[in-house]
Amino acid sequence: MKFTAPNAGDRFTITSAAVWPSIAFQTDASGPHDWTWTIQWGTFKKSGTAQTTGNSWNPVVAVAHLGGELTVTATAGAETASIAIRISGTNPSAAEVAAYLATKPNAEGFDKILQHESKFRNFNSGGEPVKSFDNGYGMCQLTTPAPAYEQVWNWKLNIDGGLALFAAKQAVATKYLSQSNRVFTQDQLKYEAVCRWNGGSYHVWDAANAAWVRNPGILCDAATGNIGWDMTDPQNTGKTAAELHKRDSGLYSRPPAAGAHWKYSGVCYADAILG
Amino acid sequence: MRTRSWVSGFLTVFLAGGLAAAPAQPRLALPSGGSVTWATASGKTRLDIRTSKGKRYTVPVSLDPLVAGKARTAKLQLIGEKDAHYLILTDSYASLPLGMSMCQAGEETFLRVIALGPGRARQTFHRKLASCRENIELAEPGLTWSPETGTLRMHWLSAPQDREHQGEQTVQVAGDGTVQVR
Repeated sequence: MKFTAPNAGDRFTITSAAVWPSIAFQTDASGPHDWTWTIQWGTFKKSGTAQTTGNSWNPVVAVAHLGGELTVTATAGAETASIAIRISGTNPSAAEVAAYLATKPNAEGFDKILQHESKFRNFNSGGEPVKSFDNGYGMCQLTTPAPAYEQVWNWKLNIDGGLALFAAKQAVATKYLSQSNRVFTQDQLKYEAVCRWNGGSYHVWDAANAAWVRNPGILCDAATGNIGWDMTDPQNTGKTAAELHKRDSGLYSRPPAAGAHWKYSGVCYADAILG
Repeated sequence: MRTRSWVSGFLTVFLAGGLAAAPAQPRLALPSGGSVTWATASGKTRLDIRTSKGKRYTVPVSLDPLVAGKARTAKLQLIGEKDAHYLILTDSYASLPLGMSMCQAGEETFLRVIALGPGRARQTFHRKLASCRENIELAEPGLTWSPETGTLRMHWLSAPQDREHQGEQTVQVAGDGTVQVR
């Protein structure tokens, strides 16, 4: 008994729209078949079984949202055969990501974070999910909570995982901006949520003008993504961004040490990402 | 009633060690005349407390896994004290960031009550007060301390899970630094 389709080692590709490939497994045997499958990628693994009355089986439902090496063993009567193939991914376009995010509530600003942080890439050049040094998987670099296998391989599910984290930031941003029945614009909410994604609040309340304003005490280093200075710090007060950059930029390769007069700033992060 | 708000507290001490690799030991001067110095390593902060009468205590306090691994104390703030009896402090650290720069600029803040006994000092109460990673945020004012009644009230804009519905918590600090949670 042997597999007549597909060929061992064949590669099947998930489309950029996260549609899984149809794979027709077929043997040269006849009669009822039992199919045992295992799909594995890195530390992720899932197995299952299926039964058919004939000699063909399509695992499209069984391995939906999963990728990596798929090993299938077919058994018909006393005969058995095994085969391994690969399922790899394709990155979505920016337009596909934008279209998907447009279907999601409370996502305004998250597209800019994705563009800035991962450039909408869920897969590397080999069609495998990107993995960061700290085991962050996929487009949203999901680490905590630990992503499911499906969230690693399906970029839409990966975005859903990231959006859940962003939605929590947006909820706090809304509470913050609406405290004491203060009013705010959707644009202010976007800046506040993106700032809080990185850390801290973007706006402060200007009581004289009864309006939320960008924290005036933060000066950003425009040459960086989220580095700035607290201008109420006497070591910074009165200095220009150019002067402070010249003083501190040699230390940017590591997080700010105790006593540093520069810092990572969510305000600067939002400014850099949203413009 | 005299109150001290979280934001307007004037006793926040930022590390003043400049840019050198080994900054000077940070020191918080207490209104009573005592002082607190501190150092953070391996998930703990060691508080070295000296009372106005010169008595010295060392108290190790634990952080949580959401604090950046190599974080040093960003700032220590005194909320209240009763000389030679107790201190109420907050200590803040850089958050352990997640992917896509989430919480890279965030902070994790703890509230602690430290009782100063005749033989040793001990932490009698602690509570996560603010957290980028857990979306915990104080309201304005968020922390109100009444030294006359020994009442400490925490009021959150976004509360910890166990206080999600109430949005606040009040504790009573006795003269010896023991704490009753309401």
